Amino acid sequence: MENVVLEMRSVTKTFGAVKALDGVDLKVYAGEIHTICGENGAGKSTLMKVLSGAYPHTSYTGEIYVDGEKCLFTSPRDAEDKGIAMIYQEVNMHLNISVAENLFLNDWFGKHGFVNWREMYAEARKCLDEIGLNIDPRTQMRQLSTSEQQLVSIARALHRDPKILILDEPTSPLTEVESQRLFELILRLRSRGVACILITHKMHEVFTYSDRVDVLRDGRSVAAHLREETNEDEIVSEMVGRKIESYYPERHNHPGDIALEVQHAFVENPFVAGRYMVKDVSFNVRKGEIVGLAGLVGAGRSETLNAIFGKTKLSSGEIYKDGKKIHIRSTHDAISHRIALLTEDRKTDGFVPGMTIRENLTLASMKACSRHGFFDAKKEREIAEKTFQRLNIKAPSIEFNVSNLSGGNQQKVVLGKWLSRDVDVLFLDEPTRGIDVGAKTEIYKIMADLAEGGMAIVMISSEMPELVSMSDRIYVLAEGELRGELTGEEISQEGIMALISKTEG
Amino acid sequence: MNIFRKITSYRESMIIIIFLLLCAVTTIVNPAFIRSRNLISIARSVSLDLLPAIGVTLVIACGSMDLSCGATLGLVGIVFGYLYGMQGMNIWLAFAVAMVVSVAIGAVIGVIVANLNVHPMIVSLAMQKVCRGLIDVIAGGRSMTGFSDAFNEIGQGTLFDIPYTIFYALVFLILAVIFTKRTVCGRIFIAIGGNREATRLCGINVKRYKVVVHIICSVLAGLSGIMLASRLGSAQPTAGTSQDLNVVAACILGGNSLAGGVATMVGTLVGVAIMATITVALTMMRVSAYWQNVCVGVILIIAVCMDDIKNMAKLKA
Repeated sequence: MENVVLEMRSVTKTFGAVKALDGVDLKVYAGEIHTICGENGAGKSTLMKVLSGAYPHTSYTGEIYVDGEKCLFTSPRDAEDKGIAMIYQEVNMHLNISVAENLFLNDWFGKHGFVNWREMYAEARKCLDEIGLNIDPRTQMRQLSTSEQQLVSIARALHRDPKILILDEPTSPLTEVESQRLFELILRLRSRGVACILITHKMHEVFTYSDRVDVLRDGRSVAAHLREETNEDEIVSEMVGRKIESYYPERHNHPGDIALEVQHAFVENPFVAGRYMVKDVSFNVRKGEIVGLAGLVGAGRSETLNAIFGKTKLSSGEIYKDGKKIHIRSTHDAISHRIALLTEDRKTDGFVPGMTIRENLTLASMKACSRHGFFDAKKEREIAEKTFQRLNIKAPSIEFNVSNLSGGNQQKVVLGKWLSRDVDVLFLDEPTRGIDVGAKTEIYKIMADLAEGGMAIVMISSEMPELVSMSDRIYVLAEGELRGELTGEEISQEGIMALISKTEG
Repeated sequence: MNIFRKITSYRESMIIIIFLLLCAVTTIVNPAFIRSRNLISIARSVSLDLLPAIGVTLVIACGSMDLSCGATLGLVGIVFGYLYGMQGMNIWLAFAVAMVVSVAIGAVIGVIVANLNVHPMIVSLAMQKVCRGLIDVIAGGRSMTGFSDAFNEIGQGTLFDIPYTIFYALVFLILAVIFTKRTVCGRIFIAIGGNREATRLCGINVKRYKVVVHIICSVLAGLSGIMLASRLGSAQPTAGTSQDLNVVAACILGGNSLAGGVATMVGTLVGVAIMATITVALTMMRVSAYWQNVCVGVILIIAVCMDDIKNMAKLKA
């Protein structure tokens, strides 16, 4: 019964002087869900790129056997022909063409260079139905939400009827409900005999769905378990190489006066006049309080915070800071009212690549480290060094280039940019997305400390356990509207889900 | 600190080695190259091109592009020459008008680039045409003469056989290095080129800085135009025709990334030096003048490819 579909033997891959993979072995059986765990930089994605042919066989050492047959892939196409399909962490789709065209990229229906559109749309309909995605295949890709795009990329992989399906953190852009739907699909595939290799940071996914767990650390295979034979603590300590006492810090909540109050906020969709992404949202946050904004992707959470911060335009609504009405027309206004925003995606609008940690840390407080337009080198170093120490950023020095840091440390730099100046109200949009367990706990600790120090924090997160554990109060949004507020004992994943689905359908 | 320094020094040391190799090879083929008179003449042409190159370096660092600096140089020279030389206007007044023209050119490009989603390459290319057209309108193909000896001395004078223009260029180079390394404005330009949106979210008025960087660039080009007029004793309608592209080539050659976010003034200096030396070297190696343009084009292609390869390597690391 135990049928090995894939075996990788002592795969070693180096980038320059760095060993990304060091003799990694992997054995995957047909009809199982096989999880690979590891911190960022442990080599998971590199291993999968080796497997999917993204790195040609000449660029690494080691062997790959599919169904016992030795394979030498020179391109992803070769791997696809062997029945290996990969779904990447970041959606890579052509945004300007239709869903159907994306689904069948490279083998569009038709003859002699002409496309048979009717046949193609019909086939696309079937593919989308299979994963339970109810959208028109003619829709332009760009108009879909991130999670819908992710689902389309999964449909594309499935269309090729793969033997081995690799999913690299497939649920990070998805909400809980969508993730669940995705896993139902994966379970169906498993029963069909497809081997699914799953890379994830989320422990509950590991323990709810997978059959086997491998742990990578620093490019080496550290452990291989059957799921029944292990537990969360063991996996986490193997990943980190040490024991993590408790995931979430203890919170001592002493809320003070209301720091920020937002009333009747409306945000218009910039592409569709007259349609609102945020409709009549009101909320407040007190000093020393962590307030969570819960909701599905597209519920209007980021849109609300972005507009309040002046990143986008607030169509109407009132903002009160410490009881006084304020007007925010630009990010500059928000910052001068001591409001800060950690954006959802640190790469697109968080840090400046190519600059040093120091330059990034002082980017929002250049006035404080300069006189008459000239930098005071000593003062700048002092400010940067202070934040660097405070956030425990792991780098040789503050003169290190941010681009070379791990995701978690980059996130700390972006956060540090705001903590280098005086901030009363901090907006955090998915503060722990795509960073490893160790860095996550550190970010939680920093959040707890900041709140303790009297900062008002508003956090958006799609990871329910994080939201539930960290927040003092939670507002639930759905379809751009405020659905309700949870406090104290009411805070739970079930409570949030109940509010989200309350008036739906 | 160490690693960062290593990387940056590598960025420039590479191109310095190429420059020295170029000089060595030319010297072997034709020993006349190493004569001091020849070297000074190269240095003088470097000094005249350095000002616009500094401006374009800032523009590129800021994530924008300017292909009009040669034409700006020409137009400002002609405007100044016409007012001061032909019309006998007071020299300071003529200078002021010339600077206003420079600022206007930069402001037009900057405002369009900052506010509309138009590629700066196209905007500045169109601006280049406008400037070249205006040169013909004003000059009608003639050169503008009638400068006083005192004015000509600015560009023609020497100190211990070293032309004044080299000293001016040195001063500007030092100012430019200080500007990029030590001032808030310089840092902001580089930050905008590195990540425009992140910079905006830090409360920085990105649009305003984009306009400013284009104005700085045009003003530097304009100053260079007046320097050139003084050096030649006349303002030529053809001045700066090759600079539009050569200056950009020099910047990229020097290690400034087309993607923005990098500003190395030393690199730019070496880039300009290579461009100036190539022309002389080819002449000394008896390569026909017709082939020299081909060489410059090929160099630009190589420089741009190297830039892209470097960026890709950085992404992989």
